[in-house]
Amino acid sequence: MWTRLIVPLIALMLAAPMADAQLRKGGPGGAKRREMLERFSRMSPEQRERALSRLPYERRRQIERNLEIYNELPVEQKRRLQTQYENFQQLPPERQQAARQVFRRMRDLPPERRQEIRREVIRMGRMPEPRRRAYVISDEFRNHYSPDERRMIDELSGILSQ
Amino acid sequence: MPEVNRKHDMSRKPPPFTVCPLLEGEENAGILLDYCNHKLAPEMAHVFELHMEKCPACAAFAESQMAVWNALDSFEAMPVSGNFDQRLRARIEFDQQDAWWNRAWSRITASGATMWRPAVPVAAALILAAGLWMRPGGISTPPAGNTVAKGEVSLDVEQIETALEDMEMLRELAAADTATRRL
Repeated sequence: MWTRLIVPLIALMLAAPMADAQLRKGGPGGAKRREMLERFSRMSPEQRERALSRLPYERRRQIERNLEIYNELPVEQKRRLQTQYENFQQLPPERQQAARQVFRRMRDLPPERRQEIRREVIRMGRMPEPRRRAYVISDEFRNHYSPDERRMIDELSGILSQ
Repeated sequence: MPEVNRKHDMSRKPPPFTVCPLLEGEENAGILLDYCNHKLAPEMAHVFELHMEKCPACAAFAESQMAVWNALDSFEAMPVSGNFDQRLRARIEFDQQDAWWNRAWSRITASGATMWRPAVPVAAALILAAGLWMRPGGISTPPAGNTVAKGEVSLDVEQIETALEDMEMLRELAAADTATRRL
């Protein structure tokens, strides 16, 4: 009788710290997620369609579009992107999430404005902090971007330059 | 010295019983068994029969012993089915082809050492847990969202969606970086 009780108890004792460690890490890391993405990109169209079948149409389309872009990248560019992705995964989860949210908001903008904003983010990311602060309140900046665009640029450059 | 002794030369005229063989000890008690088994020399058998006329203990012993032998002689084994050999061979082959773990388990459970038997499932659980502990990466935590089994690792569609979104964001930023460097 005691063996019937002790076996699940031991299993529970040993499994608990593992599950706890996994939770503290916040799920699979960058490399794991990248591996998952590689496996997904190698799936047949039918398998992929089945995998995405439970998602709303818009999200499904967005995933397919992003995957298409990713798959068409030259090998060298893909490799660089993977390195950048793993670096991005080193940021705290809340900053990663903030960056994603800004990018989702940017999707509502016309393509040329999105491009302009991205370039501005890069330029501002190279600026020293005092200069960046001064530029954000300058007329040049205010006149060139709408309040919503300015907020996006400020947030994104802040996230990526920290 | 007793007159009847198994060490006697049976070819010579046997001496008459003066002491009961049942009381003579282990060696001469064999005379009774040989008589009952019809293995005693005829002369000795005759002498013993004369003794039994006067000794009810030996007579009773011989009677009961003879009853056992007669019963065994009249015993008939049950007829064996026609395909007995064939079935026996099939059973032996089946046991030999049985999975190794079943054979090992049978050996373990068939042995007389009952003291350590409860430790077997505990040891098995410990080995399993140690294996899992040594390679925690082998365990995939159940993802909260939409999952698809692909080989050993399940794919979390939401994780893939996020990874693709991140890749696209970083690709756009890298493109913008290249463009600003050119300007």
